[in-house]
Amino acid sequence: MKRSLLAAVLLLAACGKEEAGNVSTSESNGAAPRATASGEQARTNLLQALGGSADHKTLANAVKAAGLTETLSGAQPYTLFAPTEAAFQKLPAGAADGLLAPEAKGRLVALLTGHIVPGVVTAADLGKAIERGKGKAQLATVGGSTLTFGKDGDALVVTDAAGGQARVTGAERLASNGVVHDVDGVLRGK
Amino acid sequence: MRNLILLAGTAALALAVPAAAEKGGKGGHGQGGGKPAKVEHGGGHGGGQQARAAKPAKAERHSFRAERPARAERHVRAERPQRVERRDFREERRAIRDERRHDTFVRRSGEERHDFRRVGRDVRRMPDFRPGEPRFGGFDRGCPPGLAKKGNGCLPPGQAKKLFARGQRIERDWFEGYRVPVAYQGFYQDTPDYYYNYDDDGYIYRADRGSDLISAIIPLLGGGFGIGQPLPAGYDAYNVPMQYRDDYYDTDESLYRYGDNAIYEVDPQSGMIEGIVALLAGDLNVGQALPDGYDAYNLPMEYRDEYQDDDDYNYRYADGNIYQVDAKTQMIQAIVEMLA
Repeated sequence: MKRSLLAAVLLLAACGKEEAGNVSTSESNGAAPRATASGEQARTNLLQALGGSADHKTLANAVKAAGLTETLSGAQPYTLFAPTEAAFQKLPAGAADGLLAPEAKGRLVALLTGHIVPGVVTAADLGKAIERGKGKAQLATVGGSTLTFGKDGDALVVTDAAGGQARVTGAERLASNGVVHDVDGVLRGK
Repeated sequence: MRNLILLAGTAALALAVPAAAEKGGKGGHGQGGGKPAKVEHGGGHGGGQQARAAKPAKAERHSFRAERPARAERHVRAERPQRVERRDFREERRAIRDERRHDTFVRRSGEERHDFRRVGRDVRRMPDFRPGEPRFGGFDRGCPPGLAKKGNGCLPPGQAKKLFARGQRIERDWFEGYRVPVAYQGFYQDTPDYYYNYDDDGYIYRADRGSDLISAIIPLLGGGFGIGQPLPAGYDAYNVPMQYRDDYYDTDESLYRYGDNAIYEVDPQSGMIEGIVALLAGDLNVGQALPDGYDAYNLPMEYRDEYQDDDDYNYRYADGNIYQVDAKTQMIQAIVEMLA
């Protein structure tokens, strides 16, 4: 608790100095982002990172509809493989229909939790794991599925449980409670 | 001047937070005291979660636990190669994956088709259905279970997905082909007294073998534990795993409950689930082999200086803990940090 309190005070001080505002782009449950051991100021959290990205509007809406906003703005660390707008557009017609409806929450939660991995896995960590695993590394999602990573040249390629493939695009974004990797496909069961 | 205001604000916060913490009762002084609820697996409160353990239910863990030797034998066993058990893990995990693949998109994407099929099945198998008959106790206005979801007003709002009630009698063949999801089969295994069923609506039902009456309803994430739905029965007591208690403790504004691999925020007034505040993987446990899916180093940045993979040890994060893993045997040896 002491640590959270300290982080809260540090955050408040930091916000004050920077005229606030530029950090908060989306809702937050007020959980104190953790300051790093080196005393570096806490960055935006995963939810704010999504909210601040024009390329993740669909995903941000889905996260909100599934009730996962507090998960992504809380203190627990996660790695988020974030499908871009283009990724959602690549879905077959009808595949995402009704996903945001209240009665589809089960499906939506299952879909989204298949993109979230516990802990902070950077691209460098993945690269090392792939090297150690002779071209393959597996990550378990909080949804219970397993993602398999490999390399195509320099690019990271992820294969979902159904055999669908997507590429990790752009640079990773470190957040106070994890890391976001953009992917150019929606990872799913089939 | 701004600095002065800032200082005042900081001081106010510093004063206010401990007060709030005291009020909320750190470690669960709110509802249920500091002790986690002990609910028997598949217990009679509709819960059936392994609420006591910091680690949630997974088929692998359960089967592992079932096989765990007596204390005297453990030492010997620990030195044996783990290859056979690793393979078991893999096969089970593959089965879970295959099933989820089927669940999440094939079966559920055709919601309408599914509804149609279920209604068809239920009606077909209940030729002698009569409104008001006791066996359809929860649906006394003449709604057979499958039809209740079609929006004809037979079920109260928020209960639309829960098709059966405790104490209701079920026919075994209603559930033909709808077995309990693989991930939960280790926990909810049929016994001489009970059998378990699942009907794709987000609940596992435990029925008494003699009477066929439903004696427990076990809600699952996204089904029974859905945002905007009432908290399922049997979760009155604070039961958040220890490593999360500093972050999520009951206050007048919010209650926190653990169930089906997630921690939920609940409105104390309405009893409605407001959000999912943490998702748990539930894969790692001391004394077990590191399961598939933890190939990559995944520690939060602030712990990386202290715990780096080397020739002797690997470190992995899951569910609020950092685990130390023997680099050679891949056995999880210890929890070295609880992050909260």
